[in-house]
Amino acid sequence: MAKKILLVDDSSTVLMMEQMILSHGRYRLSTARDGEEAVARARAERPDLILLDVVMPRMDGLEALRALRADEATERIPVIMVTTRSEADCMETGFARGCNDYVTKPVNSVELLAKVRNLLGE
Amino acid sequence: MADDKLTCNDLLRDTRRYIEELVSENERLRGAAAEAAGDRRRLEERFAEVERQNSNLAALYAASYQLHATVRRAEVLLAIQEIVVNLIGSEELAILGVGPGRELVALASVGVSPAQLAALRADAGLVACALASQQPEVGPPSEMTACIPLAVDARPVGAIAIFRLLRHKPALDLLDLELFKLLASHAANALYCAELHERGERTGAGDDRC
Repeated sequence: MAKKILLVDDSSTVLMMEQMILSHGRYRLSTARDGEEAVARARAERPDLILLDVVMPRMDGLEALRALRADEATERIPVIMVTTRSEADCMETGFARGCNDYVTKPVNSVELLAKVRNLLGE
Repeated sequence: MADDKLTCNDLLRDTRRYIEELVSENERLRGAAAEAAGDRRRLEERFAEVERQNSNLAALYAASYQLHATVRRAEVLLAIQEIVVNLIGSEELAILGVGPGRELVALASVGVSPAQLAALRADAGLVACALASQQPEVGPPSEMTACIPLAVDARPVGAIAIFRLLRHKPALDLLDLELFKLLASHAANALYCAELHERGERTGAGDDRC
């Protein structure tokens, strides 16, 4: 059964790139445009993995991560933060709030695929 | 007794020959394994290269698609910003128009101070080089990382100025140069079409000019 991945980013360009990169893996992909929508979709769809942007309107990625980890239904879903913010403090906050890994933009497809496969146990 | 000795010698000789055959087979298998490891390494490198090429093509496709996915000027400007931020990797950029008196007008900007914008001139620095050559120009990072001219029908109408790259991106790569070329040829046309469309909407004319 194909694994489900939730892609979260307010940028159509990034969502399109991620969809194209992951389309080779026969994953079932869904998208959300901000943190609130991400949390709602994660609760409803229970994806196997979430790719989560940091800077987004309404609710940013770090807040969304906190909400995901605070909910029994979503607390165990692996999360990869996808961010232009490579500064150490942002990564430390992400890991402190329970993200499993991170990639920086511009997204390197080989790196992203390797991290996705690793967290999906493939 | 003699027969026994003969048999022992034969057995010893056969055993030695068998051992030599095994050693030889072992060497052959080691060679084959090394060759297979080399093949695997080459295939892995080739696979990674194909993945990189796919990713580059995906980036070019996504950029082209986003530029032409709308006829709203504000959305085209946003698409250009998204491409520079997310595919090239800079959060310091300005999209500039060239006014009738060759003055530069900031159409949109991200992470650039008013002083930086005010210092830009159409007849000086990297912007002037890009407008004159009608080719993307890469500059010394101290001044500007790159400037991409925007031209419609070979007429310079603006430029995209990219200042510093993101901290974790050490330098431009081949994909960035391809994206510069794509922006130079597509971004101006997309902006021009959007302007025509919105002008047509304001005057009540049809929207089938592009």
